[in-house]
Amino acid sequence: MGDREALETDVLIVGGGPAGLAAAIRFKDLLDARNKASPTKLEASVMVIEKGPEAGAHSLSGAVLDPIALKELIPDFAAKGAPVTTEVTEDHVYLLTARGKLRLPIVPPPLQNHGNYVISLNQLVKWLAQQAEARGVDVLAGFPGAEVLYEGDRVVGVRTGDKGIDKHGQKKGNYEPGVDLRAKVTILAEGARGSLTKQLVPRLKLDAGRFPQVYTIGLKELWEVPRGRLGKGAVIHTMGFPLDSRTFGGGFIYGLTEERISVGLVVGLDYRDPFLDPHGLFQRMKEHPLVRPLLDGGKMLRYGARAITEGGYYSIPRTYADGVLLAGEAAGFLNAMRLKGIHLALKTGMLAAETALEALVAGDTSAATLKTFEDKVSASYVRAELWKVRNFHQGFKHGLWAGLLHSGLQMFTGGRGLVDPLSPSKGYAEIHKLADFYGSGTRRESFERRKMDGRLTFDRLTDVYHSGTKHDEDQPAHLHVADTSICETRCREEYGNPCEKFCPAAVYEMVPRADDPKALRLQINFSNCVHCKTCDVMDPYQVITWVTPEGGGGPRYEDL
Amino acid sequence: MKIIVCVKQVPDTETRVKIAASGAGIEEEGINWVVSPYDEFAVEEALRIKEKSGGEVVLVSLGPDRVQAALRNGLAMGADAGVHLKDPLFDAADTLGTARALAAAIEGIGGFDLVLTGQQGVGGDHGQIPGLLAELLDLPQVTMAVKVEIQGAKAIVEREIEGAREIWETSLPAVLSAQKGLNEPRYANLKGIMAAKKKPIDVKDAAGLGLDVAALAPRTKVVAMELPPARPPVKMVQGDPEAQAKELLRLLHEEAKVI
Amino acid sequence: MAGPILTFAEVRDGKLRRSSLEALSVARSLAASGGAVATVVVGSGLSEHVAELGRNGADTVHVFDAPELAAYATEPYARAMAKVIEATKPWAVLLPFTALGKDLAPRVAARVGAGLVSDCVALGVREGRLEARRPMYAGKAYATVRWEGEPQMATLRANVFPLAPPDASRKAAVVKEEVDVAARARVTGVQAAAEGKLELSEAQVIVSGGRGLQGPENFHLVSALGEAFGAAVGASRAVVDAGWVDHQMQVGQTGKTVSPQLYIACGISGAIQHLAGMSSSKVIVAINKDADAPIFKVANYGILGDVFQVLPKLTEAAREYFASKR
Repeated sequence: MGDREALETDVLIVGGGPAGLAAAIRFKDLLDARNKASPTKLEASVMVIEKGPEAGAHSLSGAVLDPIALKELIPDFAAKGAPVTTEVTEDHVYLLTARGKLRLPIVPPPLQNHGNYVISLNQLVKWLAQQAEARGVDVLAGFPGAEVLYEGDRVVGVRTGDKGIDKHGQKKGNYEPGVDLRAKVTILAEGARGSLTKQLVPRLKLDAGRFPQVYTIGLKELWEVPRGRLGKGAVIHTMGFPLDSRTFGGGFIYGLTEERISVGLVVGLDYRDPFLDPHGLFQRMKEHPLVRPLLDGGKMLRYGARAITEGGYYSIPRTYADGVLLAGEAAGFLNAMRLKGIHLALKTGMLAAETALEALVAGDTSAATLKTFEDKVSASYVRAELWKVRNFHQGFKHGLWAGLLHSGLQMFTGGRGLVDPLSPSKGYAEIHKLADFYGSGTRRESFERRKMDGRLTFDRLTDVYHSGTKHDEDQPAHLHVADTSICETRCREEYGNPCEKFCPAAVYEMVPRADDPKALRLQINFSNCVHCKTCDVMDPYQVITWVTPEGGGGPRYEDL
Repeated sequence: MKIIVCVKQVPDTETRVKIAASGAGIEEEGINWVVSPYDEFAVEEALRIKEKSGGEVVLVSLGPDRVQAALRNGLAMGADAGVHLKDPLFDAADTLGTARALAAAIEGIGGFDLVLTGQQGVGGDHGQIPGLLAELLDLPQVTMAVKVEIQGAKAIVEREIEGAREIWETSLPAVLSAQKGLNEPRYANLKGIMAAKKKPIDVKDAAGLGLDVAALAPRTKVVAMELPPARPPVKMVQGDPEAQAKELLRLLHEEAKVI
Repeated sequence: MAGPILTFAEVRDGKLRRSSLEALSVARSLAASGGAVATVVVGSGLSEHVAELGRNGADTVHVFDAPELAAYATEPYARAMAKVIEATKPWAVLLPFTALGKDLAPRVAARVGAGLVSDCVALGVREGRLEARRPMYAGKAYATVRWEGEPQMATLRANVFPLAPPDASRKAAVVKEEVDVAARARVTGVQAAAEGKLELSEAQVIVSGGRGLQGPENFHLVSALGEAFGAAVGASRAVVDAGWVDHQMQVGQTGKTVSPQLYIACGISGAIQHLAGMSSSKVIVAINKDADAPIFKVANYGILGDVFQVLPKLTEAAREYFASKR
């Protein structure tokens, strides 16, 4: 392509989330400090690309923030107007049954949130982007990283996505080819199941000797409710209902302000029931006697969903290679037992920035130099924290009760538990076939979707509307299904097309074929996609690949 | 050619409208502000003319600080400079006051061959600025252009009217307003966005434009804003399909008066 | 009401446009308490229109009749209006919100320094002043607007204001006027609009089809109904995603937000995205066989029935209806 332009930068960061923006901010601050102290000035540019229409638009979390890393990054964050103002005031953990609830008499230490904050990640990220821009960082929203640029096995940058391609793959009048962004150091900070990270890790065998990553899906709604329903800063976590004891996960309810409640459900993407429908379960959770009184008569404002990395320490791939570093959840830095990842994203982003600057100063950005990133992570609280919970998710392999037992044991044994390491399996491989789970005779058509009431519970399309998601419809679908005949035949029979259930945005739909109404074909409503990546993770045949759509497409989260 | 383009920042057309506490406007919190689509056509056309015949494109926008994003957007597409008109006095200005401020700014820039605007700002949809500007600047105007061709000191413009297309010829300088269909605006590319950060935006207030309170005093004022009235419950049309069809047409004609 | 109410009468292809008569009807009703109504008509060979303007409510007609004024040109037409405004000091000035009115009215307003309110859908008198109602944000809100000073200028949306029946006994006084016909911008030719699909966002009537049609091979039922109504044809996202029709036709979500006078939803259940795209339509008709379909919650008229039976009958009836109106 002769018309493709190239741009040079010293540091390229893919993903304008907490990890990427912390890296950008830290890099500029360290560079500034170095240049003040040193007689030789170093000029170095840093650029952040982000697929969302603006920084924060695709950022979704519960969220409770441990401020430890933010205090290091921007010590006067409060004075600078960071949207981190709601301190946690109370902590509760409940074990739910279909109708009842049991409040745990003591909140387990990992779930104690004294000194933490209930925040909107979306607001925090917007603010971080302002801080980065104020430091002269180019934060370029609407530009997805479409592919990694290599020279041999050395990463030399990223190509951004083309714009102006129609649904048949033809160039439109406003076609704008992606740009080759060439960088001395590329930091991938794409979040869970990043599409470039997914290409890079196997190619460079960064996962050699590591456990497979495991994921959960988190779904969340933001509600406006009458005052007095839940205290500002109240934090509630739930286990049990609506999940059966073999399914990993739990609920959360946070008091963001006196009138705003975040409510959500996390479901392990290593479930067995082929009919499991995370969105439907989330709606059911809101009907529980613990939750309903909090929301009744209120108004649902926003909705979002996102896959979360839960594999923990043993699933983190090698985080460096020639010319590249992996930071934040793209690498799997998340503490599943504490249900927290933002502080680890910030911290690993900062450490990646330190590493990148040292490498630039040394004039060597090969793996040999960038390896210090791993040393820095190991020396920091990131490793200490993750090491303690290294067997957490795996402990739930045999269900909630075994998992709780393991968690307790791990707490007393510094994370070791009974067997260390406990190996996780690939999540999608856990799903059972219809016949095995429900008995023979169960078919795709046996699945019934519940009717929602439109006040407390909502169907997926209504929720999707509240995610603000949109894509230009005249573009190729960004969800590639390698072989749709599998969907039509094998998957329909064996699993009953679980994509129709696990997708929280009603993207996948099996519809009757025009030529044969008894036969079904896969219809991909890609414009509904909220970029959660669950399909890419969970499809049992691993034929779905999530690629970046035209820049600016996707959800537009506000206050989530 | 030196082309001046007026751009307005408006709420995204998908904005869910809420009435503000004042009762005379809409709640601005949570609005996603975009460049009015018609103004994007105008910017695109200006850039195409510049690419063909050389010259310079200067953007003018009036509004609070947030409109700098609209100017940056146009600069990223390829415009050369921006002028931001900002003054608390402008907040209450009506279309005429706004046009006076824009006209003063355009005269201040001077030396231009063409003024381009969108045919209307989406949302307000007054569609007055092009005509007001042309009169205030004492220039010829052609509005709702769907095709523009510059031929030396004149322009040939196709203008869309009900059921037909008029071909206009105008001397330059002139004011032209862009209708949908004029072109397909380009995406701001990465280089453009980065370059836009370094392009100049000149900020001017009312005094700087030589305008006083009297010149900006609004002649029209929104005194109330309401959501559309709630729809009455659906009226189900009964009978067999043929009877339903006839009855529906009768209702649409006699009751709803839409056919 | 100190001065008269002045309207502009638009002549196109030798005929007075209906919207000009609507403006006169509005003026007449606003002047019910005894004010005078005057009209400006500009063009060439206008004598026959003067009587018609009189019958439709004008007390005085200011006639600018010159061969050079045969085709519309902004500058001389604006000069003509301004001349009469300056001479007669009207209380209000009303123009139709047509392609011509949209071009002319602002120019006149700037010339005489008047406040102008565009696209009014209701006009009334309150405390001796004019008060207008106009849609904003694609009909998602309505503004009530008042003026400072005079004249109070407004453009009126076409087909909204009722036409008063003409009074054969009424005659208007004629004032022959002259104006400088110079224009720097002029029409040099007119082409009939290319036959093409009606733009959804511009259409006054939209007929839209959804999944209830069961397959692309049945979508012609919707197109036929659209043709009978002279409507633009739209579709729900579900059928666009299914590839039945082009995405240009999509209403809602990333498709278009429309607010026509009449929206007929055929076999569309009414997912919230679709409703967000069309619920500001003035009148909504829903045809669906599912009584629980959310579309009925926003519809003015509903037909509970099978699109395969209802659409052909409705198409047939609409053809007859519109044929009888011609």
